[in-house]
Amino acid sequence: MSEVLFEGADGVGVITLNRPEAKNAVTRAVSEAVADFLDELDRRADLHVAVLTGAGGTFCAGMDLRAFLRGEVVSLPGRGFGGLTERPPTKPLIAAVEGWALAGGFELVLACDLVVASASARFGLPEVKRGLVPRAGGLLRLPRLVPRAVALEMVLTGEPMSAARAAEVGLVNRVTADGGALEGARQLAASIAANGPLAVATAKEITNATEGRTLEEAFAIQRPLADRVFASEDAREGAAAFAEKRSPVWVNR
Amino acid sequence: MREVVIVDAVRTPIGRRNGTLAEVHPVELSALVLQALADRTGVDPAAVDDVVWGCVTQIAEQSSNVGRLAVLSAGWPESVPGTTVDRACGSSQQALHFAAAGVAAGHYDVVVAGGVESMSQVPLGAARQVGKPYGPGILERYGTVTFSQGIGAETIAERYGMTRDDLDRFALRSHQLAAAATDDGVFEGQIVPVAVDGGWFTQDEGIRRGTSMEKLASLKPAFRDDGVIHAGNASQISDGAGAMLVTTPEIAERLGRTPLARFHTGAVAADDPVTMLLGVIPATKKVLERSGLGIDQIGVYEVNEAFAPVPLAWLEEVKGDPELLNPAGGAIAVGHPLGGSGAILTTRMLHWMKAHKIRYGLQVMCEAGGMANATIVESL
Repeated sequence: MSEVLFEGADGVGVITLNRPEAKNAVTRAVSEAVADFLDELDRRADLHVAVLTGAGGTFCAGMDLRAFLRGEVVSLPGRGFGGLTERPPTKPLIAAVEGWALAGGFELVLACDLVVASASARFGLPEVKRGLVPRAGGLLRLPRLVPRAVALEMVLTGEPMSAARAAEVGLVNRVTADGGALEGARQLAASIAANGPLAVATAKEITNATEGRTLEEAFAIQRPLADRVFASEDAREGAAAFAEKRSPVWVNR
Repeated sequence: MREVVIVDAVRTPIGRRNGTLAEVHPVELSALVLQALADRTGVDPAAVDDVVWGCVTQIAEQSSNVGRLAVLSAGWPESVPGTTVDRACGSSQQALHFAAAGVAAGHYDVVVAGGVESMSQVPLGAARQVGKPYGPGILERYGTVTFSQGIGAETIAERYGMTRDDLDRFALRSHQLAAAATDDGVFEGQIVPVAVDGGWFTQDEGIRRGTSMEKLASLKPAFRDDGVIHAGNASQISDGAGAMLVTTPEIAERLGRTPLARFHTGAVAADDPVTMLLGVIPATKKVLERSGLGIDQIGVYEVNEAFAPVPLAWLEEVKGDPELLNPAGGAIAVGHPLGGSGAILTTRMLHWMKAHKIRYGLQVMCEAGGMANATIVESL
């Protein structure tokens, strides 16, 4: 059985971490497989968005400690932990979280754009409890996503956060019943996949590229990217379909 | 007869009853140590001639030959067989003996010995709940007596004049030594971390760091109102597994590994089943005699801490050095996952011998039925 599964249908890719016996912990092989699937996602014209999830009722326990002990370097140069954290895909990525997303597993969640979690999902960065610090983006992304005090409470105490609290502070978009995170994420993905793919990918690009910039800089960054979208065939198709009261047929250019 | 070596030995951390490992299926726990053993030694699992697996309560989650199921669960080739051994508390020590005998006799070239017990999932005595193990011959021979380990331990304490204070002091020592060993990282090189909800399980969790003679004194006797045995000076109910790779020196060399030790001598003996726990003494005499070694030549003893009177009576009878007894604590502190304990003790002893450059180590475990296995290993 493959340690990472990938399927793509109806515009939506699903990447499943599939090592339930190790709580989907990340080995070098997992990082490589995820990186390959993210490349495939960005390359394939028929996929517009993807879901990242874990098999067996858990999301991911972080780095595989047994792999670490046998001397494996789990992160990929240029791609990061799980093949994701240092270079997320161009297309939107949704985390579907059941159970624990811990340490590196939570940092994978933070590298996703949207999060759907089941009611009993738990998120945490316990590194300080072991005398370590998170290094797969947790310290860098979390304070940008939630208020600084909330981020630092998680980081400095190492205590996990519930799905309800994560939704309250804006880390999680939707909370589902247990066992429903993947389906919830697929629904969210379907509503993204229905939209103009060039517009969706560019919207994500602009949001990321302008982060931390002054408004003046941000508008300057945005201009050529938005111009390309406004000049696209999809922009004309979107307007035409709306006028003709029909579903648009996107060409991604 | 061929020489037999133990290439490597690994174990899970030991979980408390209903603790961190409670949800991990015993077949899964077994598979984890098999995988770790292959990972560490570089042995091709296809070359493993058999997996000899100790397990005591072989019903429910531990039924249908855990040894074979462990192989399949580990993702090893279907060509690797497995068998399951019941020698009560010494099951995986017996598994090592069978494995070593098989290599010596030429039935095996490479074999894994080990064992498992999830006492959280399959409680001690569960198999006796569904049937009557003692037939009429036993009843006739031993009357209405039920074989009780606790009463056996009380009998030994009485026979050797051990006070509650003696036993509690030994229990405290076990906790202190196990805590110090854990803090010093003594077990790190032998433990296979287990992924569980909430993170990685990496340390034995039975150790009570805050215990004291006063706290132990407050515990009520478990078997007799006027007794001296209680939960604090008996082994804990636990979950865990251990595994060892056993082969010939030539094959170990081909693997490019210096074995941890040579399997020097093994013996099994038995004594009266009512007192139950004193088989360790004839077993030790037998193994020493067979090996040609004296107790003064042995640098470490692992005597399973089923109940505090057992290692103490053993020490008195064999005239051992108290300092060399269970130097990293024992089952009173870290627990006794029955079928896994033999392999866990050997693993602990072999790594201790390596770290302290000890030549000979002796392991002995008391077993229900009055039996005991004794093993001597020699560092290479």
